[in-house]
Amino acid sequence: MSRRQRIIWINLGALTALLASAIAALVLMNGRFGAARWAKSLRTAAPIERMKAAAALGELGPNGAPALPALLDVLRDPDDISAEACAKALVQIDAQRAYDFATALIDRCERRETEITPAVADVFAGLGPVAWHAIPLLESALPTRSERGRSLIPALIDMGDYGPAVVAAIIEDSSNPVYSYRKWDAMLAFDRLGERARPLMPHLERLSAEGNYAVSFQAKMVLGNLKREPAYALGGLHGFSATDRSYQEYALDKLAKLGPTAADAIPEVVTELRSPSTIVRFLATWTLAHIGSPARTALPQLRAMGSDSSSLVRDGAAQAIRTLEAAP
Amino acid sequence: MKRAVIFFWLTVVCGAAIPAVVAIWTASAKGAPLQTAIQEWTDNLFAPGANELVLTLISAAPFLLLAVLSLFHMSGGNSGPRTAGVSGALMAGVALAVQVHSSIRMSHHSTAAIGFFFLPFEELIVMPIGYGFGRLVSSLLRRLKP
Repeated sequence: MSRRQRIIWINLGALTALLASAIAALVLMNGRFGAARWAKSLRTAAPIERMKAAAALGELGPNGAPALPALLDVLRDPDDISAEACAKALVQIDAQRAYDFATALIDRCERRETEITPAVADVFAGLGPVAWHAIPLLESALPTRSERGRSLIPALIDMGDYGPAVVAAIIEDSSNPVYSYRKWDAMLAFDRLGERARPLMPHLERLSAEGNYAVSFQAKMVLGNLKREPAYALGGLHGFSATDRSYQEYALDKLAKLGPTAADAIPEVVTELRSPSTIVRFLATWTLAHIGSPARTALPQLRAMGSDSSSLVRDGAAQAIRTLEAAP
Repeated sequence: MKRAVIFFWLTVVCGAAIPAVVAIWTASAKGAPLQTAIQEWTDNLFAPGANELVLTLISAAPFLLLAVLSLFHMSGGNSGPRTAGVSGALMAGVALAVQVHSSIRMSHHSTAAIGFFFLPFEELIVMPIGYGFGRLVSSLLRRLKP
């Protein structure tokens, strides 16, 4: 090897070592090492940094498991500024632990040891569908929602409550002639309802003619989304099953909001009952329940979920079976 | 050969440092004290939504390619015009990277960050143009010499 070649290879080797170090750092920070670092921030850093740490842990997914004790420590106090972000992270890291936490929190609320304060509503909003047992509890707080912060209605929608009580509350808040946070939140809630807002189109048409630009613009935007063909959401899982968890979660939520019109997607939802991810398996049971009577064809597969290792999935399947058997 | 090695590492350093320097400079320009700006950058190295290290790697990719090519190219003889060409490519790459990074970071649009993904491809267009321009200037200067 000539001197020139030797110099070239030494420098290329040094550059490769630098690149390998950068990639190794990225891999480590996306694993246990990163989880430990964010967990430390969660315990010691300033409020804004703690929120950032909780969001980062959620992004790590199951790799964030070493941070579970730190997340549960924060969640002991729902008034903590990062509690909602910690609840979201908990669901992403370990849905079963999130379910256990939600069950304990619901129990505390039912025994009146914990009030449904705005902070508690925020935590339920962070837990989303995993806290579906809390729907009756939060619905009972709807008449006094002005004292419960801004998360109550979004939390109920995220848990899968598209029922008359929630819809009535959204219509009441959006019909207020005075523009306020409450009215604006109701406008956002229409968007959150997705396809479930379709029966409310006449009301949205009226809101789109309001003088307030923010209200009319939002109403027109929701109407525009509703007038589009839902083909994308119907085929949302097609070709993506068992590839990207966050995409599957999004697609299942969309399908749940489509209700019986998502019947074509039932075989793909049933495929997700065998997902290695606990949250995806649970969301598949939840989606089948929301699709309603057309999903009765999936009852044998749902009954087979009774032997699932996760109580979240078993309870979700049992709830879906009850819903489907009672569906008209 | 020494010049080729210097250019090699200069190109690598430029590619790796520009995202950090521009991030810290724009944070300072927005009113953050320098120390806070540096701290913010290091905190965001692995933070989701910021991922400064990933951005640095994406931004540095065309510079690393230029560095490797220049190491072979400049160590192969005819060093004067080749050095001028590589210098032109490096200057063009640095100018574009600084401009794109600063405009994205100063932008108020939520989708501005998409520009980071286009930057390496833009660099691959601009760098050869810079190389040709560098060689052209070098040959013009040689002709002008008495």
